[in-house]
Amino acid sequence: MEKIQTNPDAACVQVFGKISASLSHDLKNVLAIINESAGLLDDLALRAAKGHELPLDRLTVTTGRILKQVQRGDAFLKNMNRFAHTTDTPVLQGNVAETISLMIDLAARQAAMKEITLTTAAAAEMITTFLIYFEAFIYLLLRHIIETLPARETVDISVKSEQGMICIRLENTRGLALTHEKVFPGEEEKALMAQIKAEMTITPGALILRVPATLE
Amino acid sequence: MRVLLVDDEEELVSTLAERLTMRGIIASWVTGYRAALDIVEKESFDIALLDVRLPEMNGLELKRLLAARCPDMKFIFLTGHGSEEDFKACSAESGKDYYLIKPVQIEVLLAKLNEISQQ
Repeated sequence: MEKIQTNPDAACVQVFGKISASLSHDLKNVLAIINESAGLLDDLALRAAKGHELPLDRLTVTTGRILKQVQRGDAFLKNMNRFAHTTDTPVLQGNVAETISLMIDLAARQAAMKEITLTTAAAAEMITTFLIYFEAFIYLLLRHIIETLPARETVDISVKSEQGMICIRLENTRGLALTHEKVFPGEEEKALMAQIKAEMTITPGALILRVPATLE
Repeated sequence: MRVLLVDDEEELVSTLAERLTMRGIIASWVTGYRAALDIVEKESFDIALLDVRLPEMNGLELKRLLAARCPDMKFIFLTGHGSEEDFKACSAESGKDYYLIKPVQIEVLLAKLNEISQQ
């Protein structure tokens, strides 16, 4: 299949596609659990109608499971909705750590598949930029790091201000490389970085991203 | 009929096993490939129902490892993904009739289990 021409908007479409595919998978699992739980309640009701004792503990566990899955599905959709609304206005202000946290949540399924932990601490730093490009870049970066690292690793992400720049540091505590230099940044990531005027420095076990706090 | 269910969604796989047990099927469940490989060393199964997207190892790779250890075991794939790529790969392994999309109705699953057990 012919590849979509690389420009920042095409890169964003690809990110939307990746996130939608992942989210639909998560929602399918939520629906499957609700489906089986409702089916189990139906099975128990049919057995009760035939004279079997109705196990109240099973009812409580199963209804609790359904409620938990509804909350889980709601959280997935809230994250997707928050990301989708980033396109409402070209330039937006956002809290950097909260934005990174959202992208971590959206990449959670891929991280879980390799049991990789991505952590970020709350921070007050705000950024005014093409927020959708910033989010799309962070998402692609996280996906690349998840692919690059071996299973069961941890990446700590910290945010600070530095002379009008937002400095985002991603670090593996064991000093493992987070990216493959030959493939990252690729054309999509470069297109996004150019829009938000981001610079990237790679050191052993760490990656530092510097982005203007306010886009001129 | 003895069925092994493998899916990383514990609440799904445990409930499904409970419902199959109510229908006279001996169903065991695990949530990862290591536990799946362990359990087939201790117990025998006629059929394995495998999630396509498992942590660390996908269902296709796990199918090959299980088939090498249990040559008579039959396989059904269960997925929430439903991509064309997964469909082609899983169909090539088990046949397109044994590639089920979540959520699956218990009657459909039972019919597939009965069908594949008679092959």
